[in-house]
Amino acid sequence: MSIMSYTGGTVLAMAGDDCVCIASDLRLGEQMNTVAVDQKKVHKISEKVYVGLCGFHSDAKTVLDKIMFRKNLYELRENRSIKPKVLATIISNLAYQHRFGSYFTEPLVAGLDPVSHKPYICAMDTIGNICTPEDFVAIGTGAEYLLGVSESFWRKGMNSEELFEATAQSMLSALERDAASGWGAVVYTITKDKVNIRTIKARMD
Amino acid sequence: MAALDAFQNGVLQCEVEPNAFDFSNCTRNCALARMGTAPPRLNSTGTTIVAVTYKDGVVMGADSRATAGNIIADKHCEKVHYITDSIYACGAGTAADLDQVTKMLSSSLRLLELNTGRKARVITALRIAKQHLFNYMGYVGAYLLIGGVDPTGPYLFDVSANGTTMARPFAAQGSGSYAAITVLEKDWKIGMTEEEASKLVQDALHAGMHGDNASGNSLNLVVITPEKTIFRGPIVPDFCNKPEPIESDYKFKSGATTVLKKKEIKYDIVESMDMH
Repeated sequence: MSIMSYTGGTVLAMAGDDCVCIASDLRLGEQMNTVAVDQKKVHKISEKVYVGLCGFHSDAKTVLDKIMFRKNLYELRENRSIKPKVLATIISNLAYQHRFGSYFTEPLVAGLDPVSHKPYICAMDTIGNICTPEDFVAIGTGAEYLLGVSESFWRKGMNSEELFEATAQSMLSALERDAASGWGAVVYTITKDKVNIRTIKARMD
Repeated sequence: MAALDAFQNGVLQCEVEPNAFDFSNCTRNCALARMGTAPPRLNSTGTTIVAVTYKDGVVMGADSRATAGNIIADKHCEKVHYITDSIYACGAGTAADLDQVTKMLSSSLRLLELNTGRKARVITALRIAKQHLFNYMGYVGAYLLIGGVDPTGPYLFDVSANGTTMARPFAAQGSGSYAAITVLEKDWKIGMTEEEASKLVQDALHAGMHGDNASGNSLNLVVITPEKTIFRGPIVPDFCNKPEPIESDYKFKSGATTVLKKKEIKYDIVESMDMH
């Protein structure tokens, strides 16, 4: 039994031209049982910055609380909105403090810089190693399937509509093959003047 | 009140002591391991890293693949880490440990430069790294090649996770080092020029990228001389390119995905001044 697939869940983020898309499934399980069908793994940290937390659900909740704590202190001290790159560093340092005795959750940060609106995506392992590819990142039990299908669907310079379709279709493909994720998917499309939250029709098993 | 304080101190331990490791999850994690749960895979820079000293300076290079088990987690990972303007470190081992150790080295040396008013020396970087890594008995998995030029000359050192250090004229580390070292052993000679040294490092990296499954994608080089430091990368060797471009584009029509519920949050854009 792996602790990272105990509760299940998958998150994908893709970067386009001036926009990012972040998608999550909705299943919460206890190994083979499904316990809840409305648990999003993506959380809003600030207007344009979202965080995905996969892995063991209890640790994901704890780490989310700690991220909010650090982000609130940062925004109070600096008196400005946090940038996604800075948030990623904060989360990485938080994870690395627990280098021996880690939280069993892999964080993913996706968002737009609050000033320049440049897209930023990154994913980390459980101890905070940041990977910043320019195209897409995936975490969770369905990450392997997502990496394969996103290599085909992602192109450079997609606009927000194309990016939404690519992200949604990649997520649906992964849900076909990952038993620990599913029960629907929700896709957030973040552009400089709005955030679209779409729940897409998916197989409910 | 005392009980509340103790609880808060426990929960906020890592906020209170930002520079220390927090071991509060260890009991739980050990219990889980005894129950038979597999620990999560950590990103490792499987890697080939190579460094060579030549007549005036040092050439260092690394590939750019980071793996989590057999999955390539990052195709363009930075393994040639900046320490100071004339000291760089190539890292193999656990990726998070490498990032944090090299950041720590960089800040410590910068503070030392500011406090002493002198350019930092490569041997200082080595000693700080060695003392940190030995302290953790090899559990901080960082295998570094630290190279650079300081006022006393060019140096190349090799640091292992358990604290062993060695001074070398040329070195290779990482899983691809078995392939890379063969090229270095054959072709390294005393008094090479910068072009020869650069070519030797690239050939050694190519050997590692061919032979080792955990190395590949592209390579980064840094050439350090007393006058300047040139960072070259990413260089993609011919054999690392996709053989043909993808034939058909997967272009989905708008509306291809059925949307059940939609919510839109609109933000007003307030003109902001760029303060950079």
